[in-house]
Amino acid sequence: MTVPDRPRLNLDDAADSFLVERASDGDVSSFESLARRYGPLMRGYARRLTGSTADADDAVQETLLQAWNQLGKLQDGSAVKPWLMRICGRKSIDLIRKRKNTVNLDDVEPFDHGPGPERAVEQDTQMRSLVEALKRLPLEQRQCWVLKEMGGQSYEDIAKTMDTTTDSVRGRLSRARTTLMKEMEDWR
Amino acid sequence: MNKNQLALRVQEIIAGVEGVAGLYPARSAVLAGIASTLGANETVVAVDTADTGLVIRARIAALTGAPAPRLVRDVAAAVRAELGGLAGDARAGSVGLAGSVGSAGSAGSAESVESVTSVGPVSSVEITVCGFTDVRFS
Amino acid sequence: MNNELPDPGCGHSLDELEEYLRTGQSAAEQHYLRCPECQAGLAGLRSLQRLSGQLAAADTEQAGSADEPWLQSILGNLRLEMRSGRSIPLSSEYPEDAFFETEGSLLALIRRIGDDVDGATIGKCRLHGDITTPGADVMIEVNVTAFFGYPLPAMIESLRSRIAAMISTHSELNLTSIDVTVTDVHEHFSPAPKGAVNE
Repeated sequence: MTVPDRPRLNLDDAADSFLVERASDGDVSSFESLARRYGPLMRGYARRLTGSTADADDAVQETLLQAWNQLGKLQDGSAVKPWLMRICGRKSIDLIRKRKNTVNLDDVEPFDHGPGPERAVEQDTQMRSLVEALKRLPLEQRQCWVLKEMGGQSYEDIAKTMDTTTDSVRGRLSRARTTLMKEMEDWR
Repeated sequence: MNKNQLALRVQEIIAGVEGVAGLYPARSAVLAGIASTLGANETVVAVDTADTGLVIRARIAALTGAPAPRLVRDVAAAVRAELGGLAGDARAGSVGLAGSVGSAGSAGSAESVESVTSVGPVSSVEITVCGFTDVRFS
Repeated sequence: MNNELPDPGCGHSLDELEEYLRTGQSAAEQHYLRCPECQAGLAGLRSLQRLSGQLAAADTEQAGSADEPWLQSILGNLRLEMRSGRSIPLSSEYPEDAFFETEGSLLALIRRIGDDVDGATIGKCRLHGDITTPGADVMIEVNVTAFFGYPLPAMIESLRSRIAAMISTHSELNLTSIDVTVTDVHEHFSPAPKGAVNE
């Protein structure tokens, strides 16, 4: 990357905790560096959760807006990544709730760029099987599973995100896991 | 009364509160983008329906002489008081509200749930002071 | 490896195995290490975990890079929002209600105070502290350009007291100090641009 302005380049190399400290003091460019650093991760995750690119972009935008307003509450700046992912998971689930009955969530639509949709995924048979198996899971089981395995959320976080109890999350994850394991035996 | 009419009514109520200089669009560019994809209509005041009732959001300019912490409470109190009154009217069937309320006034007409919103309880009011000024502007 | 799930034969469930994998400890560890069914189960769980990680990585890659229009447009939208600064909470009567004032609205008021104090123009102006938490301590930093001929101590004192009064009227912030720094003294009266960028 050959961008002329050096400060920005330096910021992009800076540690999360440094950027969080500056951003929570109102520094917009530090915040934008964080957004660039974790934007793609959040967008991919939100798309897997919502099944739609437009929803994913809305979820990322709402996540960043909330993050900007609440950055000061983040005690440990180096934990900004899981913190953003928690907010992003919550925003994605909220969007799905708002849109209930209006979209078909069975298919994750491809991003409109690149040589082929789902390139990396298509190439790997096992990964493709996993994607198919995920689609067949009941919605709530799938959401719990994605929140945990792809978002790295704890049972307690997932329960909060989905407005339910940790026991219920445990149950859904257990059923999802059993199903996926069974299917995986068939992929071999 | 649909959501847009309700939003306009709330706008009037807020603009009438002593110390309010004007209103800004409640859905910022950010939220507007999201709202538009959801198909919501753009009004200055945002009115949303939650399970628990109406969620009212507004951004205001305050007159410099009006202490902001008290002003926002006054605004919310005015909204609650006025809309509480409307809800009472709705049950009596006099404001032409229909839908889930099931008032006598709604008998015989087949309103669509989309176009008619019952004025439920106000579940939350969110007010943000976005600026201070010496003169009213709206 | 057989096609059976590990839970039946040896009496240990998939959930127990998952917990062992997640926490790295279990009373039945010795059993897991010896039991072929549990070993198969653990291997299966590990490859499911690995695949999930790969899928997440592929999703991130598919999402595109941060230089692309999608993120630029999000940041563009947010910039409008961020210019008004952070949201400072104000207390409410009902817990369901949420009241705020923007940081930008208070900074603008501070700048206007500068306009009212003879001989002062406010430059950089910042609220330091976690102003998004109710009742948090806040320190105000103000840089001032002064005009030659005005007594500085009186000017600074006037700025301080007016800013403190304004903050106590218009916010619920717990103001701990106001740091006024005179950064420049101008020979002649030539007002600097008001409302210049809050660097």
